[in-house]
Amino acid sequence: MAAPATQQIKIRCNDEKEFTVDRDVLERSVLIKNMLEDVTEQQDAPIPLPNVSGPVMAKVLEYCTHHRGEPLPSADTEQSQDETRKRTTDISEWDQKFITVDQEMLFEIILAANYLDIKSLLDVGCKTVANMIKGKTPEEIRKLFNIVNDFTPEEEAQIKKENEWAEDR
Amino acid sequence: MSDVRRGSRILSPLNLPPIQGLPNELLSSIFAYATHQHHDPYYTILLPLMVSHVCARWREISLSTGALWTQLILTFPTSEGQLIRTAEWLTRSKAAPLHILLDVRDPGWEWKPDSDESTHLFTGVDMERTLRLILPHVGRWRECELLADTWAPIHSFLSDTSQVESVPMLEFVSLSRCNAFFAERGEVFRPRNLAEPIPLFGGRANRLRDVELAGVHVEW
Repeated sequence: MAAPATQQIKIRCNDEKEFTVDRDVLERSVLIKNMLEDVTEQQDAPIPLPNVSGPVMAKVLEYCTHHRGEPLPSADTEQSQDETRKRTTDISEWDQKFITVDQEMLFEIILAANYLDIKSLLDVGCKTVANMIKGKTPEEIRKLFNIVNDFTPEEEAQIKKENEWAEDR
Repeated sequence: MSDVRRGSRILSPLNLPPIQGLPNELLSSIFAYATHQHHDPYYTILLPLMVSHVCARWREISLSTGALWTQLILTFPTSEGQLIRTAEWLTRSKAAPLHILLDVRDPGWEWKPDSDESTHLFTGVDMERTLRLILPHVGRWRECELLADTWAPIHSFLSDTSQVESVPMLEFVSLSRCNAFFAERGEVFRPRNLAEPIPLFGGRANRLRDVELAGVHVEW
């Protein structure tokens, strides 16, 4: 018996780039899943995604296709809400390869995951940046992300004082 | 983000590095990930400090994220800097659950079977003083680890914490008397005048899931 045909959904990005994607792949995005659930009749018009560009969406779809069929994280459990618990920043091998992109693309993916509500992708992005930060001095972090030191002299004085706290083990 | 004007410099959004395009709540989440990924408490102290020293925006975000400032460490000898830092962390952590490490061991203390514990430089009174700083926040304690060479500070800890009204967040407690002589053959509990079993947090730690006790007597 032939498998039932997967429903295909069309989406349109902010640069007019369109994708036609299997519904279960797109439903990794809670935003799109909710949109599709709200629509009762089959629609031919593409779903507009005004906050995502074509190249970024292509990467997001690569992720969603790889992870299709996996259970979605349960919504808002106490554990996931609590940011003070010890959490691993380990990233699976495939995800690590996937997220090895230039900084501009990395932050675009994080923004897209946030907008599209794809929690697991958002986690991968945030963990990647957290791993980039860890073990670095403020100067090294500035250099890595091209951030300008814009502290006022008063703030600099306070920071100098606070540096002594780091030495008080 | 609108133009950022600080001092004489003006940064237009076009000049912003990509990371500064992330909204505050995402940067805050990233900082929390970076802070709480490690089991070394000193790392957990250091990370938010480093992040808050990068630029004005990161400082503002990190100072408003209570979840970053939850690790408290007080050691012997307790320096003024440690006390100031602890007080500052208690404020910065806002309502977030706290992780406390009290390491009052003296690296120079040499315990021998005939040692008098009362000669240790960190006494029960010192522990009472330390607790005065953190006990008002006991309602936010989630994890507490105490390492001591002698019994007196542990006794003070048990005694003072047994008076608390409630500890709604406490999940993990580890109390260690870090000399193995108490387990020697024929050894009896010392000091005798403090041989008094005290219920852990007055028996009111309803969420307590993990307890580690080494050389510590509590009423169970």
